[in-house]
Amino acid sequence: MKNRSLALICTLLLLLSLTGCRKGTDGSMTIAEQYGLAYAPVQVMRVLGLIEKRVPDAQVNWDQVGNTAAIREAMIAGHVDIGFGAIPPFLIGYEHGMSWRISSGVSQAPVGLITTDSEINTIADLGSKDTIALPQPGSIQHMLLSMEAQKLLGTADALDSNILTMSHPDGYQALISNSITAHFTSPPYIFREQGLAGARMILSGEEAFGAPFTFIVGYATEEFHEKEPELYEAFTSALQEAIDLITEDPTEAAALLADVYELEPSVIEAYLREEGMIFSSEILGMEHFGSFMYEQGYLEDIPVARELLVWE
Amino acid sequence: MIPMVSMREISFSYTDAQTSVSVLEKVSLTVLPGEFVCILGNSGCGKSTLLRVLAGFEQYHEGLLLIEDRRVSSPSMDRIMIFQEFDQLFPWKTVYENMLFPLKKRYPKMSALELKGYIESYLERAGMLSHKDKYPHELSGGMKQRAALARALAIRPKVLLMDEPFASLDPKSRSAQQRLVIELWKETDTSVVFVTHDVGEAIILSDTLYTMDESNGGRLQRYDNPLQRPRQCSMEGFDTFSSMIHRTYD
Amino acid sequence: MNKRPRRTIEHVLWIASFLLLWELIVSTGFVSELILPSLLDILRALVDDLVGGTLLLRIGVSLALVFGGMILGTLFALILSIVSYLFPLLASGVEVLTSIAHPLPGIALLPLVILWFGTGTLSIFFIVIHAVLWPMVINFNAGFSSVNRTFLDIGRNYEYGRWGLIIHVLIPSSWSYMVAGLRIAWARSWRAVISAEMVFGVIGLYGGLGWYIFNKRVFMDTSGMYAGLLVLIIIGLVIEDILFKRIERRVKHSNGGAQ
Repeated sequence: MKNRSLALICTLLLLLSLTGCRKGTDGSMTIAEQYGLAYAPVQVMRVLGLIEKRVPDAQVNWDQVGNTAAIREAMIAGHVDIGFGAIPPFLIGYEHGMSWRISSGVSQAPVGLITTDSEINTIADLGSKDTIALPQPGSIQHMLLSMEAQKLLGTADALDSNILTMSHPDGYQALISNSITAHFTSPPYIFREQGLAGARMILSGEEAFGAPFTFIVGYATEEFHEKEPELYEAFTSALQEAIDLITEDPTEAAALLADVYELEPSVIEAYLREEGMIFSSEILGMEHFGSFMYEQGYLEDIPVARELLVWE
Repeated sequence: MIPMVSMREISFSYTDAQTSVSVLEKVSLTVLPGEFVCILGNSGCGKSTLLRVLAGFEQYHEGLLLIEDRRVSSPSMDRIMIFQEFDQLFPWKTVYENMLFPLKKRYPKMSALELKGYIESYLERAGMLSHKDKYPHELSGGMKQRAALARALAIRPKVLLMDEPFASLDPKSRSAQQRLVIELWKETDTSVVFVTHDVGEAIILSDTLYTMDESNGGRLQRYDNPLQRPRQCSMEGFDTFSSMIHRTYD
Repeated sequence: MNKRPRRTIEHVLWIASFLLLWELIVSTGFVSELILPSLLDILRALVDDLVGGTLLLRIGVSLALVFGGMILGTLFALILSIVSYLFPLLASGVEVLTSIAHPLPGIALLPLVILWFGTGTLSIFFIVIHAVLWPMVINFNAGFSSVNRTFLDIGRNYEYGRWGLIIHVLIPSSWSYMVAGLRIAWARSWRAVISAEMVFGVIGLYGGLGWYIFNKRVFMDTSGMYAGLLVLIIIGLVIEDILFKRIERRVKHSNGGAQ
C-alpha cells in the first residue's frame, strides 16, 4: 500500500514537472535543427554563431529532432522554441490550437516524384500495386502528390493507399533496391536519385503546385516571441544574414557546410547552385496550401488571415 | 503345447558412450498359454529390464525371443505392458479416450457403437465405468491403475506384462487390485508375466514363481506354486511356501 | 477464496483513481490538451472512429497479421522442432540458428527485410513470423525433450511408428509448452506489428492499429492517438489476461504434471 501511494505521488510529480520546464524567460533559447540542403541557412547560422554575435550572453541550444511531428510535440511540451519545416504541418498544428506562427521563409527547393520504372510517365500510370515512399502523411510531399492526384485523377486521395512512410535516406535505399515504385523526395536525395540509372522525375513540386512555393519555413512559439523579444529579433536577423551569405557566396557557404554534411565542398557548392535552390525569407504559397487542405478535409476550417499566421 | 513365450539364453547390457553394464546373461524363461508367472527380485536386479526386453522396448544382443513360434524384436499389441507409474494414461485424454485410441487400431472393423459397448464392458469390470469421462488428473492412483488394467486387457494381448504395478499403492487397495487382476485374468486366456519384489504378492498371484539372482546375471530359479486358488495370507501352507522362497531369495 | 473479489475491487478502485487523477490534471489547465486531452474527448474520438471511421478495420488488420503470423510461425516451428527431434545432426543446426535469431528484435530487422521483400504488408508479416518462430521452436524443443518416457513406451506398445509417436504422443504432451510459447509469441509479435507500422506504415486499406496511431500523431489528433492507445491496452488485457489464462487452465494437466 505504502509503495503504491509513493508511486502515485511520483507519477503526479513527474506529470507536473512536464509542464514546469517551459523555456524562454531566462535568456536561453532552444532551436530544433534538421538536416538537409534546404535547411542550409540554419546550419550556417549555427556554425558562425550568428545569434550569439548579436546577443553575446545568449545561450543557444541546438536539439536534433527527427521529424516534423516530433518538432511539434517538443514545441507543445515547451522544450523547443524555434523549429523548421514545411507549411502544411504548420497549418495542421495551428488549427489544433498550437500557439505558434511562422517567422520567416528559409528556402525554396526542387522537390519531386522520382521513379526508376520506365513504364511510368505520369502518376496516372501508377497501379494499385505500385508504392510511393514519402516522409509522412500530412507532409508537404503528401499534399503536393494529392494536388496532382486531384488534377489528374479527380480525387486528392486517389493515391493514398499507395503511400509508404519512409525517411528520405530509407526511401533512397528502397528506390535503389527497387522495393518501391517511386519516391517523393527533396534535396540532396532528389539530385542523387536523378543520377541513378533509369531514374526520372515524373512530377515536380512546382508542376503539382502550379507556382513556386516556399519549402522550408521557420516557426516560433508565441511564448518565446512574447517573452524574449531581443532573442527573437536576433534570430530573424541572424537567419537573414545566413540566407544572404549563401545566396551571395555559395563557395564560402559550401566550405562552412562541408563538416556538417560530411561532403566535399565542391559537391555542396554544386548542389547549392542547382536550379530551383533558392534561399529567401519570403513566404510563398501559404494561402494555396491552406485552401487546398481545407477543401480536401485535411483542415477543418479555412486558415485565418496571413497576419495571424506570421509574426509581425 | 507350444509355449506362449520362449526366452532362450538372452543377454542384454546397457551401453552408453563409455561403459557397458551387463544386466542379463543367458537368461531363459518359458511361459505357457494362460499361465500366470511372477518374477521376484530385489530392486535393480534386472527384472524390469527382463520385462522391457519381453515387451520389445529394448533390443537383446544374444539369444532368442519367441512368442508362440514367431521370433519378435519390436513392441506390439500382442504384449502389453503395465507400468509401475501412475501416469500411464495420456493426461490429455479422458479415461474413455485413453481406451479408444489403441482399440480403434486393434479392432479396425468394429463400429463406433460396438467399440463403445466393448470399452464400457471392460470399464465396468474394472469398476471404472462411472469415471469414464474424467481426465487422469481427477483420479486416484488406484483408479488410474485400474483404468490402465482395463485398457490393457481390452486389447486382449497374448501376454500381459506387469512391472510392479501396485508397488506405490497402500496395502488395502493393493490387495483389492490383486483380486481384480486375478478375476479379470481368469476370464481370459492371457498369459501374465508379473514382476514384483513382494514375496506375499507373488505367492497370492502366481501359478509359477521365479526368483531372479542378480549376482548370477539375472538367472531365474523356478518354483511351482502348490497353493489352491483363491489364496490369502492366512491360508494353510502359505507360510511354509513363503519361508522356503525367503530362504533362497534373501 | 474471497481473495479474488477483493483484488478485483482493489483493481477497479485503482483504475478509477488513475482516471480521476487524469481528469484532475486536465482540469487544472497546467497541461496543454495537445499533451493530455480530457477523458471525454478521448472517449468521443474512440466512439467516433469505431462507429463511422476505420478503427475496426485497423484493429482487424493488425490482429489478422498477428494471428496469421502466429499460425504460420507455429507451423514452421513445429516442422523445425520435428526435424530436430528426428535428426540429431540437424538439431544442432536449428539450435545455432535459434540462438542467433531469437535475441534479434524484429524491428531491427526491418531495414533488411525491406531490401529482401520490399515494403508493405509482406515485410510486416515477415517480422511477425520472426517474432513467433523462435520462441515457439525453443518451447517445442523443451516440450519434446521433457516428454514422459513412459508415454513414448506406451505409444510404441500400441504400434505407433515415428510419425504416429510424434502426432499422438509428442505433440499432445507438449501442449502446455506450446501455450507458453504462444504467449511469448503473442507478446513479441503484437509489439512488433504495432511498432513496425508506426515506424513504417501503409496508408489506406492495409494499415493496422500502429498506423492508426501514427496517422493520428502526424495530423495532431491527440485524442485519437490516446483512443488508439486505449484500444491497444484493451486488446492486450483481453488476450493476455482472459484468453491465455483460460487456455492455460485447460492445458495445465496435459503433460502429466511434468514441467
